[in-house]
Amino acid sequence: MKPGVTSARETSAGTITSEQGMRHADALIVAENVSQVYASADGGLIPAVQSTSFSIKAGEFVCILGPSGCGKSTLLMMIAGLLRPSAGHILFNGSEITRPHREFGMVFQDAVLFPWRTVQKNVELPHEISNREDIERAREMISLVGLAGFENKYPHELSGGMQQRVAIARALTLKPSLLLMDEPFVALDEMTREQMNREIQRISLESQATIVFVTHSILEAAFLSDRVFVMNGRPSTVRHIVEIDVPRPRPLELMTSDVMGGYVTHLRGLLGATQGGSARDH
Amino acid sequence: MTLPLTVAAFFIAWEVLVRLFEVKSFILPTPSAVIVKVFQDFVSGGILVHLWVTLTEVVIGFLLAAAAGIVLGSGIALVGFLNRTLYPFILAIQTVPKIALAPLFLIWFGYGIQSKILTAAMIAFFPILVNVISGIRTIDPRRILLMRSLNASFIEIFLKARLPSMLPQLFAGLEVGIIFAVIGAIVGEFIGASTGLGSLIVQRQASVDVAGVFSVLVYLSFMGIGLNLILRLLTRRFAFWQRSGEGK
Repeated sequence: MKPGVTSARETSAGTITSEQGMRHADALIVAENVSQVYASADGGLIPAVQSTSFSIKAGEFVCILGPSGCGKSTLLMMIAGLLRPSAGHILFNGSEITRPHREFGMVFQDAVLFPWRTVQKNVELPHEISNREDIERAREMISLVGLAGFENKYPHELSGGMQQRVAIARALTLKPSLLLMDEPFVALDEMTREQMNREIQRISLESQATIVFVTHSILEAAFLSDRVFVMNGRPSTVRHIVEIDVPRPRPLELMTSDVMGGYVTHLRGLLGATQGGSARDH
Repeated sequence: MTLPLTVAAFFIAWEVLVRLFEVKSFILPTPSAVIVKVFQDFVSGGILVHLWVTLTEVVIGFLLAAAAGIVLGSGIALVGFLNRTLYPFILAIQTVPKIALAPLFLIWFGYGIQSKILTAAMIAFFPILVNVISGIRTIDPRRILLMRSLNASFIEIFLKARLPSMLPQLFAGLEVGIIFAVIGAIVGEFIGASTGLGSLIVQRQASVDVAGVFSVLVYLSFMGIGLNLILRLLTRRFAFWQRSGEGK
């Protein structure tokens, strides 16, 4: 047994819920029996997420890990308030999430920057919509993501990694207490991705935001998270929660360490156990 | 480099062939005769009055078409009710050659400038409308999702995401529209007008002044080039991102 595996305190999601009942006080997000059903083309109903329960503490870094199409993005959209659950409910600070909250920041797979706006103006967009103009705050966020000096550039003048940094700055600029990231680095090349994995840790500590991060990369999930929510099965649900007992921020060298290797093997086993080996690390 | 050479070769060949075969000037004048006429028209200044009238018709007609195209196009693209009621109607009208309606406009709105403005507006309207509808419909849905995640209202999503997103396509429609507006104004003048470059063509054709007709064509093409240039500058100013690859 590798040390990483033995220190992983794994719990099945089902048993977590009952003890969550008592821990609501310090939970930022509580999901209770959340399900999502899609109508298929022929009128039938396809369950995307089935009766999922979990809670997330303030300041935590949680990764939702699962194979493509397992409903992890759907789950994130429901937390974001962009999609109403078909059943169950999700609470933010004790009140039900029914629409996007001003304390949420979102980062998507692609940067989704507006090409007609400069970096500065893209980051100011959330301020404009909430009618709280704050040029200085936007500038601080641009500098936080390491893009000071690029304020007046247009998105097409930036690399993919830089564009994604702008998207992160935009998500952070309203001081969200919850940052929701949907496979934010999946479109980036490997080297940029590693660099962003290091940066996001620094950003998460400096901004003190709680982060929910969707990924299909086992290593990324193990490296970044305090806890990994493993989603799989059909219909899909959060089946296992694995605690990664290594202090953050973590150096990149840790990625190739035995400790990480142990967690990765363990997570891969959990994914494979119910998925018939269809889960792969990328 | 090759373009000026080809153009020069074309005009030299034209000049030489007309002289060589002694083509009558009321059939096809030499380019030199046309240039002289263009110069004379400019010096006498008479043509500028016509140019001004036609330009006014084109610009007002185009602006009406643009306004109507943007408002109706946005409505049809965004409001299901308008899409169901108006769009089939508009599709049906599109199959009619709209220029054929110009004589009716003459009856309804008289021989003055109004009938030409409306003819210009009517045929410039459709390419603009079609581009606005598809521009709004083909917006990257992730931009809408982003705006929704920021709690943006319907109006904010329209003004800050949909409208700017469609600008490249809108300007493509406007470029076609301005050319159509020129056609509309000229045809309107052909049918019945006492001023405007189109009516001048008809007058000169009646007196078999072919060099004079060519001169009007030269002024018309200058006007077209000028209008197109202005639109290109506006495109570069307001839809600049399209040139260097669409941002994400």
